[in-house]
Amino acid sequence: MSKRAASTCQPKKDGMRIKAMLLLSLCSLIVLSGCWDLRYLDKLGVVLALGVDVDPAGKQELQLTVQVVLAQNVAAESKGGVGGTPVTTFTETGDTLFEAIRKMSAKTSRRLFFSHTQMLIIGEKMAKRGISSLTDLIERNPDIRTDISVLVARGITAQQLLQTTTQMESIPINQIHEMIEVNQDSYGTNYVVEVHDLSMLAGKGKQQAALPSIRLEGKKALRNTVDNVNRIPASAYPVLSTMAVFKEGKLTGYLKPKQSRGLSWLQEKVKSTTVTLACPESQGHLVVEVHEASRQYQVERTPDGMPVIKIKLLITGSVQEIMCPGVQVVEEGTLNEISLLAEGAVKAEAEDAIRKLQKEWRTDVLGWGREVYLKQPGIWKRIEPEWPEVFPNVKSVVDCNFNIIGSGVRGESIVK
Amino acid sequence: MFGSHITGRKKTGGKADKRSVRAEEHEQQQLEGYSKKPLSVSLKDNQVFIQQEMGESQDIIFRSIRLTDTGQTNVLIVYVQGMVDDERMNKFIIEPLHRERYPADRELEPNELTDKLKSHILSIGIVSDIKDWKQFFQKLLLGYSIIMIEGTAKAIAANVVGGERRGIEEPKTEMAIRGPREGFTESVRVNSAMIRRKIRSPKLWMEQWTIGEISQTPVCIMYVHGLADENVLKDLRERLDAVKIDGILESGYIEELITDQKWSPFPTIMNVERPDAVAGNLLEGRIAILVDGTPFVLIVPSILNMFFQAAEDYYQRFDIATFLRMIRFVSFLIALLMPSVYVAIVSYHQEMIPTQLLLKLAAQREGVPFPAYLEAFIMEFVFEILREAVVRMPSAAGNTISIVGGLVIGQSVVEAGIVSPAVVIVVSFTAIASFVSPAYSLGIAARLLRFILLLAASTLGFYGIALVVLLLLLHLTNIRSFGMPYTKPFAPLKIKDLKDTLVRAPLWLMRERPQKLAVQNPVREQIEPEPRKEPGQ
Repeated sequence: MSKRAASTCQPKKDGMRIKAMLLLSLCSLIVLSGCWDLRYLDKLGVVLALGVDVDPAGKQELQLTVQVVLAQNVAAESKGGVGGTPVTTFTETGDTLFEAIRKMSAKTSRRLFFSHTQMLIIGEKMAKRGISSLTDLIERNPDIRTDISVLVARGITAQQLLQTTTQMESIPINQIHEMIEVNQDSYGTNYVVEVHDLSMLAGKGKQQAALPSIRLEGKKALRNTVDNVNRIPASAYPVLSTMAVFKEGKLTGYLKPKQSRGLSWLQEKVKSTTVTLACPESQGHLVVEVHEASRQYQVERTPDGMPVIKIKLLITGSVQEIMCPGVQVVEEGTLNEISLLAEGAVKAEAEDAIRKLQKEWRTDVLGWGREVYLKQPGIWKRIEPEWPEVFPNVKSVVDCNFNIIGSGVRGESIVK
Repeated sequence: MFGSHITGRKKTGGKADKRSVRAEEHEQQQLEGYSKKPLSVSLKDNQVFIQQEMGESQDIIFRSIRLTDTGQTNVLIVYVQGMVDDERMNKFIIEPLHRERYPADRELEPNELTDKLKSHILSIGIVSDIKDWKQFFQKLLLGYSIIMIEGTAKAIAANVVGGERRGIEEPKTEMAIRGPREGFTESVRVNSAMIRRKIRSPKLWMEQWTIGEISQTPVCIMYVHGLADENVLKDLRERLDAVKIDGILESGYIEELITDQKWSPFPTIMNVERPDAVAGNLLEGRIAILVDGTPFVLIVPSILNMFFQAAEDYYQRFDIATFLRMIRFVSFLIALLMPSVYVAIVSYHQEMIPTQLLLKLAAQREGVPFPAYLEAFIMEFVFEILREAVVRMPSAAGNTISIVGGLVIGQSVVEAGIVSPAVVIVVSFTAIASFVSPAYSLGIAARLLRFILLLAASTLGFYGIALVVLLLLLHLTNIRSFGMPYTKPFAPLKIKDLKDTLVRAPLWLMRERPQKLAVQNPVREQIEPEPRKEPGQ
């Protein structure tokens, strides 16, 4: 029986051999794995933020600080235990970011993993020296996202900021990251700027950068201890400041809060905010909440061939708080009056920001150059070479239209 | 055990001589050997022959009755104990015979007696003549009672088939909240009657085969004449004719022997346990194959889409049925892909998940000694062992396994830090999803493929998964079931047939039968084409 089977199965044998080989090579895949880009999750140090400072020793170009998650401590926390700190930082100097990153391997037991990096923080000194060169690595390297947000550490180094423990979020960088978004969504003095926004500025029109800034309040010396967050309130905590303005990649200065929001109006970054107004005919204040804000640019041409920037701000909002005696918001006339006041207030903020940026600092953060290029290419072609000199003298008109659509459920104010 | 005697339909050069040798070996065992041999006229000789052939088995009962006063035994009843219904046997065969008494002068000729027995005496519905030993053994072993008469070489087979069998119960493998509660039994006749009770049409036709050289198992096909495709029928008949095997113990034998795809994990013949599901398929022009001895009825041709349809879909409102359908499709994908996607993400594509989730996963993996893919393999394997244990084990021990499996494997392994909780979650969810499929046979396919996908994911990440899925799609589009493309109506796309796939359209919209199946009579005899309008609208 077996002999016969052997003889009759002869033509089949080759096929069997091929199948066996295929099976064998399939099985070898198990053993061979790991050659390619297999990365064990527990062998990665997830970097959440990069901080760049000037090398304090002055020997090299920069000093890089990374904030790395300690996953085991995050887990201990979620189970209610008291682990160590959820993050730690590593600092290294280098002439370029990449050099510093690779030098850091002398201090870390895990490979640094940059795909989940959320923020790039630039120390004040570094910001003054120039930021243009920093974004190149992030743009170029496929591992790092370009939608990470960029921030200036005001009055401190990036390293100090990254070493600060926070209370609301156990991972400090989450707190800082969320702060900007929450602020933009509800007050509008700062707005999120991402790495790719910065690199877009380099295009036609030569727009200058503006970045949100953050400072540290309280006892800075205690910032990096667990004790810091074991008090109410924390001894040292990060506070969002105003927009930092750059010229040619170098930090020029910080706007005042009102100007900072003026910049937000002009950049169409305000999502929701409150405008406080003096009562029309008495002491006290009333507050208008903004629901929607948009901005329209128009570029016109003066007889002498210069551009005139016409800015129209269209805002919708409602009355939220009235601390004025005798104001009857049920009357349409009162609402019109309030909306006129609000228009004036917003316009003042915007004009103040323009004055500061255009006349004082002479830096085109508003992107007027690009507007001229897009809407009056003829003029742009002519003035492009002298734009830095022309810009401070460009005329602008701000027009604001504030539409009040509601006043809450109460007609009269409680204040008599 | 019977597997070694299979000679399939495929004939290769080497097989011909093997077969002839085998045929000789089996000549004596098989009934074909008796076909030429007539019965003897002597009852004594016949009894001796039967005893000799059947090894004097004790369950073969010989009962002799004298019809005359002359003292000669002239009627012999042979039957298999336990396969006949004793009560009917006594009442309708033995009792009438006992009442017959012929004095010596009025003795009948044997042939006359045979005719009289058939026409007057036996009060039995089905009676047939037996002329040779092949017919004799066939009927005897089906549970007929055989009446032999002295002096003639003819015998009478009377159908008193009975004996203890399992009654009609709720189908165990296909539960339904709403719908008939009856499931098929092991008896092919009971099963065919259950189908007939659903389709009371003279056009419900049946054809019968006896398959299994030794087991002699009745196999029936049922179809609605005029709906079923003649080509498929012809193909099926040829395939059934070609089946040569010692025994058919379950419809799985037939399925494996007549299937188009011998090397595919995907089933191309569906098995169902519900008469209503069979009836529904017959009405769409498909053919049912009933095999004696099993409650599982085969349906041909079967396409992928059918394995996602449950009978209940048509009893529930269409919107709910559609929702459930989609859940089933999604669950199938989860059962197939979830472990491999998990492994691919944590081993290769860490950048693809939200940061918070990544941190949670990383925290869980902290200190786990195995790499993620090994972990997934181990847990999947453990789960398969558990599943197999639960299926095979006596039901009394069921609780033990769930406690040991659930607590020890699920909890302790995680607490000991040997396996990360995420893998346990993934494996459990996959397990639950794999039970959603109404067709068990497709679920098994997903079980097998899951391991292949896991292998691909652990070596090549998403790229590997994409490759395997692509291969699977290629394979699926290549399969046919009795000439019908397996992925119909998706590929080739038949827009009209899509009404009963991912969605279950309302009955009043499904006016046409599935294309290609019902070429001869494409339009369903329908209820009103649209819902009745409210009066006054």
